[in-house]
Parts: sequence; C-alpha cells; structure tokens
Amino acid sequence: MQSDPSLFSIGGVIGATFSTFFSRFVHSAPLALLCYVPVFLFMIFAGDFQTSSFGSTFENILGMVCSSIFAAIATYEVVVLASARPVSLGQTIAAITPQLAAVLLASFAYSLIVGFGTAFFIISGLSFITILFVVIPTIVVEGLGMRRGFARSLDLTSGSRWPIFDLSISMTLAALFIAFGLIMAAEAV
Amino acid sequence: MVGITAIVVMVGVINAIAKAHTFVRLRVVKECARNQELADVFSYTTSAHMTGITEKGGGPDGPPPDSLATLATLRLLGGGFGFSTCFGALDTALQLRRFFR
Repeated sequence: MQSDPSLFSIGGVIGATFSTFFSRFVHSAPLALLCYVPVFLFMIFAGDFQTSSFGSTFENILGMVCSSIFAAIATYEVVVLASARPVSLGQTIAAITPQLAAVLLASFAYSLIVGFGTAFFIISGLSFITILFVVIPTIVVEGLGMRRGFARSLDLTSGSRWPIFDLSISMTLAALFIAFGLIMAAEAV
Repeated sequence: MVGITAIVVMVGVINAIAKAHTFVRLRVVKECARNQELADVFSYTTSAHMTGITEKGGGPDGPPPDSLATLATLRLLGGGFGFSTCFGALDTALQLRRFFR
C-alpha cells in the first residue's frame, strides 16, 4: 500500500535508509573509509601527540571534516538515486565541490550549537539536533549558503519535529547496533 | 581504537543516508502542504466570487455588481494568472473580501 506523501513517516525513512545502506554497501563502505583515511593516518602516525589535548582536538576536527565530506557525497547520491537517475562518483564530486566550504562551515557551526546546547541543558541540544537535522542536505542539494541552509532546515522540519526527533534517536541506536554487528562479523572472519 | 573509529564511520554512513532520505520526504511533505494552501486560496476566491457578488452586490450601500464582477473576473483571468497564479488568487481574494466587508 502506498503511504500518504503529505505525511512524514518514520517507518518509510528507516526502510529506505537501510535498503539504500545494504544495497549500496559495497560502494558506500569503502568510500566512507576512503574519506576517513586522514583520521586513520593521524591515529597511526601521531604517536604521543594524539594523547595531548591539542592532538585530540585536532583529531576531532579532522574527523568532523572527513565525516562532512562523506555526508555531502552520500546525500547527493541518495537524492539523485531517489529521483531514479543514475549517478557516478565523478558527477557527485563535481556537484558537491562548490558547496564543500559551506558544508564544512555548517558542520562546524552545527557541532558548536549542538555541543553548547547539550552542555547547558540536554533538551536544548536535542531540539537543535532535530531542527537542524537536514542542514547538510539543504546546502548540498539546493546549493544554499550556511545561513540560508540553517533557515531552510528550520522551515522543512517545522510540523514534523517529533517524528524527526524519534527518527534521530532510533536511527542512532539502530546504526550502533548494526555497526557492532558488522565489526563482530568482520573479526570472526 | 581503530574498531571504535570504524563503528563511528558506519554510524556516520547510516546517519548521512537517513538525513538524505528525510530531506527528500520533507520536501515532498512541504510541497503537498503548499499545494493544499494554494487549493484553499483558490477555493476561497471562487466561492467569494460566486456568492459575494450575487448576495451583496447591487444593494444601496454595496458596490455595483457589474463593476465588481468585471474586476473579479479580470483579476482572476487577466492580471492574476498573468503574473503568478498564487499571488493573483490571493490578491483577488483579499480585494473581494475588502469590497464585500
């Protein structure tokens, strides 16, 4: 049965997410690991520097940059595939490159906002996570700058914030569960 | 340490895909809401046009029915649709409401 397109359904998003994740695992997992190569290299070669406060801050920033680049690539691919068009990695990289600076700035601002929100009072942190849930997709797909991307995310999430909040919690738990499972399976092999 | 980073990477992959799918669906939801809003404005415009003129137009205090009907029709078919359907319909609805008040 076709769901009503005028209503946001968590089940639909979760189903589509895991369908995409497993159907494109062979493509997405190596790509994600490739994006995280700088982090792995830092972990291998940093030595004592990694344990210093500056080193761990640097590692966190490096991780954020790498995850933002991967998020931009994955977002563009998913949106193009959702419109039933073929997509290649070269085409994706060409499309996201002009938006990369805005994506990195937005990721940094998002981390600060959510971090401060959570530090002061956990509820405000959770509400920021919810209302800014689609900042990166708006910047990557709609070609907006950082400020307009934030405004667009606020606009898009209005009216569906409780389902998005539930979705963010359940997706994080499910993702942790699956990641543990995959790593256990890899270690067993 | 590398295992934890691998878990973080996998969680990041799933989260990025989930955000992209959420974005696609939210855009559809917003588009549906916008279309419904437009349909409501059209429905209001049409009913104001059809009922207001016959009920209130032409009375001693009311505006002459012919000019009102002409204005509404011109705005609906001409200026309104010529520039933007949405703003045209909204403008006509507001004009009619002001006239019939």
